Amino acid sequence: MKPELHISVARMFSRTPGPRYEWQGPWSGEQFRRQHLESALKEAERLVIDLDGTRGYGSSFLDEAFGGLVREGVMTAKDLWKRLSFISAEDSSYPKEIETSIFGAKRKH
Amino acid sequence: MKKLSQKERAFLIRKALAGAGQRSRRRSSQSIKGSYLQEQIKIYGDRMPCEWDKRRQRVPVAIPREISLKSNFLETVNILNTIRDLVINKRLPIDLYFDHLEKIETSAALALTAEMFRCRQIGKFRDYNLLTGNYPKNPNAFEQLKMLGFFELLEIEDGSEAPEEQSDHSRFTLKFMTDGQVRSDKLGYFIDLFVKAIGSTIEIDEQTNRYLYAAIVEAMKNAREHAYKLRPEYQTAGHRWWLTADFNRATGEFSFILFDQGVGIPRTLTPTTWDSFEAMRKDFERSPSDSLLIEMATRPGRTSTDQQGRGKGFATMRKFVDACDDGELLIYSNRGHYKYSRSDQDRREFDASLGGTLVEWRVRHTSATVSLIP
Repeated sequence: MKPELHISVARMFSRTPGPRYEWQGPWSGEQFRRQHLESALKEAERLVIDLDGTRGYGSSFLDEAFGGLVREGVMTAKDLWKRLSFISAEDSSYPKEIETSIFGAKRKH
Repeated sequence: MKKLSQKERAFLIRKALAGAGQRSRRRSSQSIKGSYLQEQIKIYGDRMPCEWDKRRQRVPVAIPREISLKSNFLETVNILNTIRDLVINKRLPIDLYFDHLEKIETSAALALTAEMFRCRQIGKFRDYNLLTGNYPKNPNAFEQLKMLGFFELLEIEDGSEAPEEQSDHSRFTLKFMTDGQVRSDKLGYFIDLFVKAIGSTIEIDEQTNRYLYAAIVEAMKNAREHAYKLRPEYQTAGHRWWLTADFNRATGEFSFILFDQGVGIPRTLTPTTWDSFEAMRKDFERSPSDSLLIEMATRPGRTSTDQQGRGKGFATMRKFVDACDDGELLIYSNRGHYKYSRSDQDRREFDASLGGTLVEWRVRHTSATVSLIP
């Protein structure tokens, strides 16, 4: 397992993050979680998520991408939060929003 | 020649009789429809305030002097309902007469354009041009509808009847965009186009731009997820939204407007006991009005899905307005209207339903840059 992995949303996913679910349209939070976050959490101890460089984020995208990891049972909120860090120079409110989503989420099953 | 059995002969006779019956029913239904069309042409023709072509076998519908949700809601909504009723319900061909139109607000123009789009897109009408119209005589109204892409929809593009007088060019409207999905990629391009077009007058800084983008993505997502989850009164052209943007050079005001033809926010929100209590307290009504339900829907955590992590969409939509020093979020849904700004909130209830939801972000700015308030 790698110690750290960098994921840039703008470079590796899309400059235009979209809705919550894949059925709602392209570049959704669900798609980002499935394509990048879930596999990256298996590969590395720590993820550095670069949120800069995009057009902006709807709250649904962030909630589904990060809160969705807890809801889908990938890991607990505490464990997940320990393994994530963020680069968000353009808007410092996003990490706080993600934290709220993660700790507000409950495992579905 | 094969000799038919008694059973086969009976079957063929029944089939022939049924065919004859169908043909005769179709003929009689066409003649009923023809006489019904004549009846409707007479009813609407008698109400026409302007000259209209009596030779055309189409119901004439006059567009009022002012099309506006803000200052002429009832007449505007009535004209939308008339078009829906005649074209979608009664399947009658209509001609729209814009002769008297003098003023058209962009949000109402978008709702009208979406109505044209629906009437032309619904499969059963696709091969038959049920809806046409003429050009407005007022150059400003003509220019605005032209920029919006309205006449392209009506397929009257040759411009031969267009007013010769020039418009005052104080308004700029971006051609509407529509889709049945949340298209964040298209939205990014749309905002870029708008920012570029108004760039010489007003500059929108990057952070404000990001909030605007997030607000519209959330509104598109709401339209996709909630607007059509129940069956709307009239058939729809898919789960669509329509988007446009408008800039008034004279006042320094710009707006982004998103419209859907779904069931409306009030129908998707199930009122709770607390809502009824609040309706009693605020409006002296037993059940909450449409405008109160819209206001409730904008509150953080309020959701119609009962799922985790929901009810944040309107907060994102308000964030852009909060970030601008003179911004408003206007929501029209069914019979209700809710206005939000940092300093003021207002509600209104109307007697007629818009037949969908319209969300408008309006920003007035007199200085050169729209930027975040520290």
